[in-house]
Amino acid sequence: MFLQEITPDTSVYMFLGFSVFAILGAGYVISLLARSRNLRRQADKIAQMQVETDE
Amino acid sequence: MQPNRSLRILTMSTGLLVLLSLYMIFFYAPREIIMGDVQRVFYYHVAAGWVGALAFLVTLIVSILYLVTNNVRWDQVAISSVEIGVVFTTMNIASGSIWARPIWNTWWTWDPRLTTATVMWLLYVAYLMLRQGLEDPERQRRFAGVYGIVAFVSVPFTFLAIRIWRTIHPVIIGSSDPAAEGQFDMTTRMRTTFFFSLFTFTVLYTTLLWHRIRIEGLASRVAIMKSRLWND
Repeated sequence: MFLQEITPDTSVYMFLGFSVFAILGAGYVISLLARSRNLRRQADKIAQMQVETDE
Repeated sequence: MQPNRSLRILTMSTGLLVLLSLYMIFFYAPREIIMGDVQRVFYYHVAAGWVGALAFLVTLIVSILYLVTNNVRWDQVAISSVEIGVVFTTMNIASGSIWARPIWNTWWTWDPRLTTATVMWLLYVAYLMLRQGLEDPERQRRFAGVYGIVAFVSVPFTFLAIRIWRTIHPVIIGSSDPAAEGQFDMTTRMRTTFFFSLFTFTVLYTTLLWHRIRIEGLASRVAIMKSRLWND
């Protein structure tokens, strides 16, 4: 490295590195959205069943 | 349960901060002359490591609070924080490995920092897995509370690994080991970008934690609704 004359082209590794942040970050946000939506659906369904049971 | 106004504003601000930090990383910060473009990974790599440590520190504090007060809300914060901490620590370790390939000429080496970071990551992955293994919710919370305190020992070890042991991992703030490879001097623009990335990731952590705690609250509400329906 001390003898290098020009800056090496390491852009492929840079894109690879940022892909990790993008994939893991987006994956986690999607998992949060999916869990939130599933729970809301469950809550609605249970509330509906509760009403039917009361009737 | 719709997001409240403050959370919506925070979420939008976080999105803007992330975009601005990306602009700074790719267009404002100069290209490092020895390492080239791969050095730009450093801004998020360190920020992800910082968020991991912060998340585990929050877990330590709320675990103590749970064991003292027995308030379920603290346990909900603990599991939410561990989950986010594990995601960011994964980012930190994976991005570091990618950076190491052109700089150290290897994807992985059992250097003290890499080893302690991996042990820390495994301890918190185990936290999430072991929690699921216990049936009784009360025991689950107590176990998690104690585990959240004990596992934190790995965090200062990971932070100090590059400062107390001989290592090839560079120390950016403070003096580095002479054997370290990938060390560089930050210019003013690099330093500004670095601290802005740290700030952005801290805000991102706060936003994700808020959303995650709300999910945990919703999950416990659904569980109560289910048991009520079952009893009727």
